[in-house]
Amino acid sequence: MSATVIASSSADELIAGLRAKRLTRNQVLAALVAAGATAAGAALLVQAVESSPGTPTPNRAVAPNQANHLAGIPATNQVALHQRHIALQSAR
Amino acid sequence: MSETEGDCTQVGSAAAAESTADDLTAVERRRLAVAKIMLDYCDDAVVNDPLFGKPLVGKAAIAVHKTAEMIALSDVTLNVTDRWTQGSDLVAIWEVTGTHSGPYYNLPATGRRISINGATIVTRRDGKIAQETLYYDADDMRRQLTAESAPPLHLPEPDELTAQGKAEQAAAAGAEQPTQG
Repeated sequence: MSATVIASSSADELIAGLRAKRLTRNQVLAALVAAGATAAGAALLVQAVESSPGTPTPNRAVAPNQANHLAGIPATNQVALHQRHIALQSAR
Repeated sequence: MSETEGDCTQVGSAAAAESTADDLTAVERRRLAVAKIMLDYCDDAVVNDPLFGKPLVGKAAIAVHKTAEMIALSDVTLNVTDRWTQGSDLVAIWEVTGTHSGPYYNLPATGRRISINGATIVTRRDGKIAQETLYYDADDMRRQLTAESAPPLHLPEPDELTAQGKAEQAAAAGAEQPTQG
């Protein structure tokens, strides 16, 4: 898999590549950092994945395809939506 | 597209979710909290949780599991330590702590503080969660929730959660209907 393809992959695709051993740990870490993760965040994600063999493989058909993946949802809005989601989960 | 079109329609009573009455019972408050959270999911949302090993499909199943978590844990702190977007996904690194003060499925409360670290990858469609994939050490979570004398955690099958959630939705909808006479 080329570096360009790896860099443009979604997080789910990178994790799927790591779990299927199509990508190395270092390739995934590099792609995560290139996408905006901190080195520590990328390492924690990979560590969480490695400690979680029972997580079902995400179904890519559920998600929007890469061509229109952010249609209507700018990245900043995704973060705001997630912050709201966490606030709802914390309010009990 | 509005938030009520397409597959990402609101389920449950939005009016109920807006209620802020102070005199709600704990059960009603929990139901209200879950209803508000569920407004953020597509009807056909999928949650991939290592605890089940199978996808939870649809709001009904997801809501029942979220309710189970709320019953089990109190004094919860959910700390997102890192978060970024990548392609169609949002990645969050988190740590959650809470007190195991209520039953969790078949496991009785231990009264212990528990702490779990993990990561979630969220994919949204039309602004709502279409898929949520969780990565954490589920065996460690089971250990923390299980008292020495307790039986092992027994989880319902995802389709049992769906059936339970749909039954609860139907019962809630029936309770909201005005009575005649």
